[in-house]
Amino acid sequence: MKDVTTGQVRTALTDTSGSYSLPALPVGNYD
Amino acid sequence: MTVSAPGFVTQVWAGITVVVEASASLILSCAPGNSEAVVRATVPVAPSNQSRGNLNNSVMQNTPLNGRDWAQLATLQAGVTGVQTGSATGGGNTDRGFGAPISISGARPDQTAISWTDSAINDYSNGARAACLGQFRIDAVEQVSVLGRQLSCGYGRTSGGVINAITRSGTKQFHGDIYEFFRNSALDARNFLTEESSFQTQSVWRLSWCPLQTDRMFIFGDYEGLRQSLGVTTVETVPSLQPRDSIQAERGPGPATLCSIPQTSHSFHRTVAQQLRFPVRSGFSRQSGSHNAYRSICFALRPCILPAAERPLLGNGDTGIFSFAGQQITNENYFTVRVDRKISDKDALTATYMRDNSKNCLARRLSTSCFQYHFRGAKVVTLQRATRLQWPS
Repeated sequence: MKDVTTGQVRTALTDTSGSYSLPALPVGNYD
Repeated sequence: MTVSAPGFVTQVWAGITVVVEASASLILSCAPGNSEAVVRATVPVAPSNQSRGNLNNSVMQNTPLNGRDWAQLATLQAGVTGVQTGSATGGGNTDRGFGAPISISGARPDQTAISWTDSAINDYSNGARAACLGQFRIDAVEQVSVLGRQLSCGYGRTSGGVINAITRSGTKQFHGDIYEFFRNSALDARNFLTEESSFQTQSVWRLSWCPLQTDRMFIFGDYEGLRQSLGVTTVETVPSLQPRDSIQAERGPGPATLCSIPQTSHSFHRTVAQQLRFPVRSGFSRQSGSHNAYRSICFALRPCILPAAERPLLGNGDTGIFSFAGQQITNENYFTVRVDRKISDKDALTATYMRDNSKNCLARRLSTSCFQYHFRGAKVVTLQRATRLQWPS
């Protein structure tokens, strides 16, 4: 997940059930 | 957001907006196929609930606002109303400030909590923001959120709703801009009750910069200054001619004579002293006589200072109204700085600081009332390592 403004990238892996989460994301727009 | 897995088609989702106090959920279904194939999609915008919503940066930058006050954006949400009554909790006076009071879902304005990056900026009575300028302009705000009823337990000091503004953060590219907002009497319509507008100048300067120091640190700064001289219609209650004549009859030609003599001259002081049977010296001050004598002198001088009352008179005719255009002088200096530091892939540190010094003075014929506002706020938020808490099954 890439922050449009800062260009920072956050990655996450799904667990065995296919769930994923990206907690504590700063406010903003993402691609 | 890019979603990929071996043996499945890669998906690229755009238009994901993370808003304040919201938990976004995006359910994806990956189709089997070549992982090098890419499917692009855009996340649809979810409709906002009543009295609850968020305004992103695009809406804020493209919405015309009077004075570029960010708080007006909250009224775009359903159930949110601006209240301008001029009362103690209604804003618009020098007793408490000039922030716009806002009602959410019919609650009183002082039941609304207004926060800046999760720091309360309500005034001492939990009313609207108290600054002269209204604190930071829209250019320093990344997002405005309005939370109506059913607030989370993280909010307090409110029984109506919450208006939250998030400071902008730095970007990956350097950017700075400066502007001046200018308005005077030639560009401003006069008040209905005044003969002409005495709006002399209103200037706002702003300088912001968003440099990228490294790939992990971002800085945003914003300074705004206000210099304003505004004519305000003011009403004073003054004695009518009848009590003035009574004073003159008691003291002979006193007040009328006094008013015709320049008040800074020695003859003026001597005339006053003679009428009050006070020893004549080279001049006198408050220390040259008793306090009662000084009060008598001030009483004798009042007809020279007080303006004439306008008709019709009030009550039994002893007093009347005198209206004039007082000059309201406002100076304000405000700045804020925000630093975002990415510590690791899952940890980040955010620090913000804001300082606002402002002073507003309204010059009347008989007195001058001033309102001063000083605000300093600092906030450091540490985003801990992301872990998901689960209840034991």
